[in-house]
Amino acid sequence: MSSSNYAVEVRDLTKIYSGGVVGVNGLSFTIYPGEIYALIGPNGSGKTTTLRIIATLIKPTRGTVRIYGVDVVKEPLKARSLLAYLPEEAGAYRDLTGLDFIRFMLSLRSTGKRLEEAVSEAIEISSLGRDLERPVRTYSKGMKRLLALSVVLASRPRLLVLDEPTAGLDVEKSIQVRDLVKKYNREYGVTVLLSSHNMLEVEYLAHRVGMLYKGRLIGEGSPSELKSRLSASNLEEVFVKLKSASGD
Amino acid sequence: MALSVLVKREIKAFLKNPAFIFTLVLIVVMYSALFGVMRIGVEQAAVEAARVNIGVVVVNQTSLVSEVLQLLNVTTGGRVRLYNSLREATLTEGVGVVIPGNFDELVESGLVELRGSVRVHSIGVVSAQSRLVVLETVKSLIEQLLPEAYSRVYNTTLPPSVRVVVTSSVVYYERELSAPSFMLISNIASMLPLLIGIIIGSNAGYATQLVAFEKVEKAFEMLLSQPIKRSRIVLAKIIGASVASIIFATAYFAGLLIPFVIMPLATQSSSGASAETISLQFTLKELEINPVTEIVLPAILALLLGLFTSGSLGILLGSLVSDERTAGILISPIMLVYMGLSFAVMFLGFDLNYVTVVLSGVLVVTLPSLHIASLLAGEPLYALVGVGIAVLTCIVLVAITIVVFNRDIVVLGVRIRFKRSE
Repeated sequence: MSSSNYAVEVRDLTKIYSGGVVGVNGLSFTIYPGEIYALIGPNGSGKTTTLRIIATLIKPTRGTVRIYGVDVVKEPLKARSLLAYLPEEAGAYRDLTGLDFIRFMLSLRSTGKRLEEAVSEAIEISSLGRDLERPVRTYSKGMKRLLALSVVLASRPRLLVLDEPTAGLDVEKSIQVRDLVKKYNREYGVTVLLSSHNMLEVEYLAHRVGMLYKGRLIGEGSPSELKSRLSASNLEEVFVKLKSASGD
Repeated sequence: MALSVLVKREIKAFLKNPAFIFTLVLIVVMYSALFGVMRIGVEQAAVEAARVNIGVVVVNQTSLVSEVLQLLNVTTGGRVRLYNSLREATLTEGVGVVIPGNFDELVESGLVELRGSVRVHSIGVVSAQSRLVVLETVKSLIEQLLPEAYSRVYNTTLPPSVRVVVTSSVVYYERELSAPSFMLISNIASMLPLLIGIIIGSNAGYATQLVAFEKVEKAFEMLLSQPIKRSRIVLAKIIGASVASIIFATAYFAGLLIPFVIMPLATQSSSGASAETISLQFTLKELEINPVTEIVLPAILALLLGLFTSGSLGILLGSLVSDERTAGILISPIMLVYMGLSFAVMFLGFDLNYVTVVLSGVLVVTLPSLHIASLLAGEPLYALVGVGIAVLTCIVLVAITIVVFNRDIVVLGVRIRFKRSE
């Protein structure tokens, strides 16, 4: 399969921060178009580092990342036009109203009729109603996350990169977020790469899972495949067994 | 009890912040150096004025003139030197005064009008003032010595109402300017850096806040992942901060200028006794300065360059830190440099040489002073070089900021690690 056939192709990705701290080490995985792929692992395993590199926010020390065949280091602008990134704890400008934030962010990607369509779509996705007329500083964490998610979804990217999309949200908001992600993947064929601590969430959402530990991929496959291969009842058990097998 | 715990926590937050400690050290070092330089400058001007010889031009050597000069020479410790022209006297000794041909008649009339001139090298109030004070002292001495000289020559007492006044001028490079005009233009050249320095300094703070707050609001990474060039983001932030600073400046200038609009700008010459007052219009006409093209436009150019330079610096700093508190602490020294430099120019004056040209170009604040100084000196090259350096500095800083915005550091911030001793 050639690189342009993958939605995401990560090869030998290594990121070493100043001071010698290893973010990721020789990471390789691929994501097919229309797939939901989840990176799971404990804190410091390299999930955010990987997503930030894919989202062109930081550069790798070594290795390559291609999004639909576009090298994120060589052509970052082109790569950014293909993806939308929702950082962990993504917020919004406190001085803007929710509606102004939606319009501002989406106007960086589209203009004219498409912009108006995207704004309407984001308003609908956010389901914030009249709250969109209030300043963001009055929003709860869940409202802010929904607002940010509505922007990234309404921009209709080919690749959606979500870093811990439901972290810190209550059950209802978490379900709302998961359903939205699933809906956009199913209805519009948006490829999704997400990171999460929540194994249940991953099992519900992801077609395939990559398990990260200390910057390395220690296991990969569909949740059912992984569970059956390791005779585990859930992904948490899978992770623990893979971690033990990796010798750490 | 709870209050003391809270207060301790707040104070600790500052004291444990390396940026805060660094700023404290920097402020002490910078202001010590600044005030040291200012003190030396003022002292040097005073010492120079105290040691300066007095070049005297005698048009008609009468007995009374000879007697006055002899007494003056004794009183000043032998510092009177005779010359053939006021220009020669001024250029050689720094201070020159003409005893007019009709001195004796003027004494009889009760009002002696002298012409005096001082040489200055720098645009600024302190150095010119110190020389003009010498001239004023000479005038006062002549006034005080006149009765003694008169009685020696004529064996009679001089009526007590005889007054001596001096019309002073300043020789700056090759140009001779009336003292009030020079003082007024010096004031303008000294004040402009202060006004611009405050605006530019504030702008650096605004620019830093723009990035730092965006990071705290957690919208920064979303913005950076949009399909727009980072250079656009940087330029937008610089322009945004500049617009805020221009609004601030408008309010600031309005507040400052309202009194001058209500009362016409006027200044009094150093030779206070002669009560020479002068309007800004007269000064500009005398100095052949077009206020729009020679003062306002260069000041606007300096302001714009300064806004871009300080905006870049602010954004650069904001992009390197992870919260607005550290950003605020780090930007303070830069704001102080801009404002401190302005105060230095006010006290020290502005010398026209390539060191000040380079400094003006890099720090921008003193660019209007450089322009006025080079204009008066008839040396436009200095101003051109200064503007060239300022433009170059601005471009380099904007370019560095754009480069930083394309690096990991803009997302990760600077991480300073201190090794703990075990």
